Amino acid sequence: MKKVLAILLASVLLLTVMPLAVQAEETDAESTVTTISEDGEYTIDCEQNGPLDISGAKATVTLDNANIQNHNRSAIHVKDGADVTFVLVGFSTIKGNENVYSCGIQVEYGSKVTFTGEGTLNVTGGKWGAAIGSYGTDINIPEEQRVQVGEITIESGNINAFAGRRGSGIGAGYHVNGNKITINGGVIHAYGKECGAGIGCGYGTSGGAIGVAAVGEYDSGTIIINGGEVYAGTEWNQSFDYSDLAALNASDPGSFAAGIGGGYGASASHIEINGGKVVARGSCGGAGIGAGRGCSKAEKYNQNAYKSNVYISGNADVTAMTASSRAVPGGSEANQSAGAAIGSGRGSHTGGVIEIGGSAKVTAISATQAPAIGASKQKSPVDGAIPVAQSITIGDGVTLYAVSAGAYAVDKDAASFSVSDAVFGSSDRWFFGEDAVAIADVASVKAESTKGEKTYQALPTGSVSLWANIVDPDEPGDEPTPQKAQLGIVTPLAMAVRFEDGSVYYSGDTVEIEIGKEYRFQMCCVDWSTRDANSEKKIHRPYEVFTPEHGIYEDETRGFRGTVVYTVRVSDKYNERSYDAENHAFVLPKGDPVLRTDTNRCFMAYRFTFENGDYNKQTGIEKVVYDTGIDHENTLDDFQYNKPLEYLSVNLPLGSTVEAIAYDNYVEFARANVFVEIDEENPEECYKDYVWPY
Amino acid sequence: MTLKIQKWTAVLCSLILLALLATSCTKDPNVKAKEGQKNEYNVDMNSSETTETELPGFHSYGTGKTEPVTVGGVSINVKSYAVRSYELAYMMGQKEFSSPNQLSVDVLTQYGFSHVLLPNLNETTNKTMEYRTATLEQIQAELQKLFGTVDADLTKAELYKPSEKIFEMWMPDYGCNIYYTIDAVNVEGNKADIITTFYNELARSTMLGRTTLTVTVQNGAAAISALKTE
Repeated sequence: MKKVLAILLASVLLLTVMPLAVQAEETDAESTVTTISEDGEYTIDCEQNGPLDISGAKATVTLDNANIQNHNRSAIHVKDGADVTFVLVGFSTIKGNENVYSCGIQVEYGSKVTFTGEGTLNVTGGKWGAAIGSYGTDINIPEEQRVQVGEITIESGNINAFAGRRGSGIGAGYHVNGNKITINGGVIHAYGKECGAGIGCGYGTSGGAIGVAAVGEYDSGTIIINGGEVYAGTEWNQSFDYSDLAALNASDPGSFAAGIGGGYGASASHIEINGGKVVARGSCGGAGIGAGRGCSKAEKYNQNAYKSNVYISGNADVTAMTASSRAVPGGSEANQSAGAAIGSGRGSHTGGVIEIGGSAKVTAISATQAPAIGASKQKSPVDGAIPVAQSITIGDGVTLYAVSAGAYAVDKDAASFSVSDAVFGSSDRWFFGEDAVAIADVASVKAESTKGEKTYQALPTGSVSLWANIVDPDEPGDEPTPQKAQLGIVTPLAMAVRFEDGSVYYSGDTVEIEIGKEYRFQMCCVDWSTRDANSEKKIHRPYEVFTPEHGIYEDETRGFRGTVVYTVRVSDKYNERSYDAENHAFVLPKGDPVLRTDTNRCFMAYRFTFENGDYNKQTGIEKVVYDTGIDHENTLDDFQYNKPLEYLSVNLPLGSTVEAIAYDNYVEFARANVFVEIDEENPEECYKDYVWPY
Repeated sequence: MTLKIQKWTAVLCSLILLALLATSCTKDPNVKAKEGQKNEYNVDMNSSETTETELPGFHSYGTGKTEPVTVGGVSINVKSYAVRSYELAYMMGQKEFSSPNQLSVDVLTQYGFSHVLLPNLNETTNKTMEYRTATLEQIQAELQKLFGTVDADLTKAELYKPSEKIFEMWMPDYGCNIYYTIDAVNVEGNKADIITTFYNELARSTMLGRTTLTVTVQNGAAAISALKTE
């Protein structure tokens, strides 16, 4: 129904707003292009599958379960200085064409896009293209001709961005410079592919086209993360758990890019993380956060252009990792350096500037021959020296976990080095190293100070995954395993509760139920003749209020059941407890999930008396309190359980109709059907008097 | 040839009987019979009482003055009202009232709710744990048919769930056989007193009780207006 309404609304909107703004043109046999060229608000829903151009307009475009793919161009093209706010609703799928230079959402230089809303966007780039940003070309471009992508801002939403070949997940495509990416909120999973960064720029250059573009000349631009959750990797492969560096090292991901920053051969001139949660991984020489992999030859390298500057502050929670696919022990590049987790890629001359301040929490793990924080330790392509960071500053409010295989965890040889004693304590226990073999089993990595008091662990190994758990709402996903609780049962005397599955529980029983799930139940009264004062069951019951005299309820033969529907739900909170008597609804804390039905409006205690005196007059109730014919020789059992009683008081379930029997000296002389209900004159009381007219 | 025809007749009769039994087994008691639909198991009052036999399931077995009567120009199905008498007196425990407004809101609601689900409450199967819901309008419509206008705020009933604005109920176990004889139908003006004796068994050897149900016709519709039980 919502979709229908959305389509109708969208249709009305399009009819009323778009006549002047929308032009349609043929692009391929199946689709026409919708063009938005005037300011306004628009909705693209599942009914509109053709490609979309937004040209020069300041527009708000709601992607409401949109589905645009399989066209011979970018699915959405923002151009001519357009300023577009995409509002994400539902689950939208936007894809470029892997055989055509294209993006999912192409943002031309001079235009900008902002993502808001609470929906999910699955967006995929096409050939040489970013998922969101620009596509590129396989021709290396002279600097004067080089273009940038437009500006990209994410305020909220769930965005899963999968690059096309050699593109970034979010940012620039192949041979294109980054511009400005700002992330203030949302949950973003971004994956570069085949030398493209997760967030930043795509494949820059390998240096093979020196004279046209050297390593360092392409750049990822300005990347600012102020909030949200950001997961960025350098290729997308569902079978990988990106936290499993051992598995990554044993494979060949084929990426030379940073998780956040530069693609292969590209700088990262400004990465600023001021808040939010960030998890990034580079591989095969690319930094986790920083520049991409460089080269080994000076003529292919531009020393002046190459930059890798990372600034982390505020309350940012950052996890950065690198893995080198060629660093398998005994392999051809076993001793080659990986990129730094935070810093430069392999084949560069400097680790650049790294500043970590504020109250940031940083976890940095580097696989082989590279510090977790600093410059990759492969020889510089400029002079063959071991590169160092230009500057490393770590403030005293920082929480830092850093570990490296075969190198210092933090590059102590940085040209400018300032690390607060509050972080490490003393210089003797700053840095930790493990060899490559040891780190192959990442889960066992434990970096310890051998001299100091502090113990540092390389966390969170095995607990961080870059993989986005994407569940298309139209496809069945994995159901989360429900949490269980043991629900304790407490009932009024001689009553029971029966759940919707037919199970009957008595006071002191427990039943396993799912936390958060609502269960219906009804109240029942039991057959008193089945009560046993000598029951030993009490020792099995955890609640002191339990009586071993609970008796038995059985359909049609023993006791009565009520008609009022009660519900119980165990909350996932420890302090949520309530009984809504109006709705007959119990909510119990998971720390103390005891269902106490011995409360108002769960039962009525009926008290039977006789108008003309009670002497030697008794009351019984069919199937509840009646003469079983068993002579207990006037024992306690006889009077309490198996005989009609004077002044009978019996707990009964609301909505049932019981058949009461009047006795004179245990000889039946009258019957009455009694509907069990709240006393309208005393609705807050749990008892009601029934007076026989005798 | 004659013998063959008799055999075929016997076979056909057996098949018809089996079909009838099969129908009874698959009948959903929660699906209300359509207006005017004949209950296959009610005793045909035109036949001899000696043909009464117990049938599977729960049914009403009536004898006596079971012919419809006309009250205020409206034809009254007295057999139906005999069953209503039983429902009110024994299932709902309401032995006597001189106006339906004397019935409690809980009784009215549960009775109306039950009739939303079943035309004759004794025909329920007493299945375990059957959860049912009804709207205020549905219950009010049933009560209108049974009692005419009733001044009661049904949302005060225990079966009402304010958070969802619905009525919900576990099906009561009202299933039973009803054995009765309509002793007299006294028509006076727009009223009819239907006097019914109920028994504990088909043979009618022990009496359960006797009711006098008053049906009043107003604005062309009959409605229960009073009940007495002995």
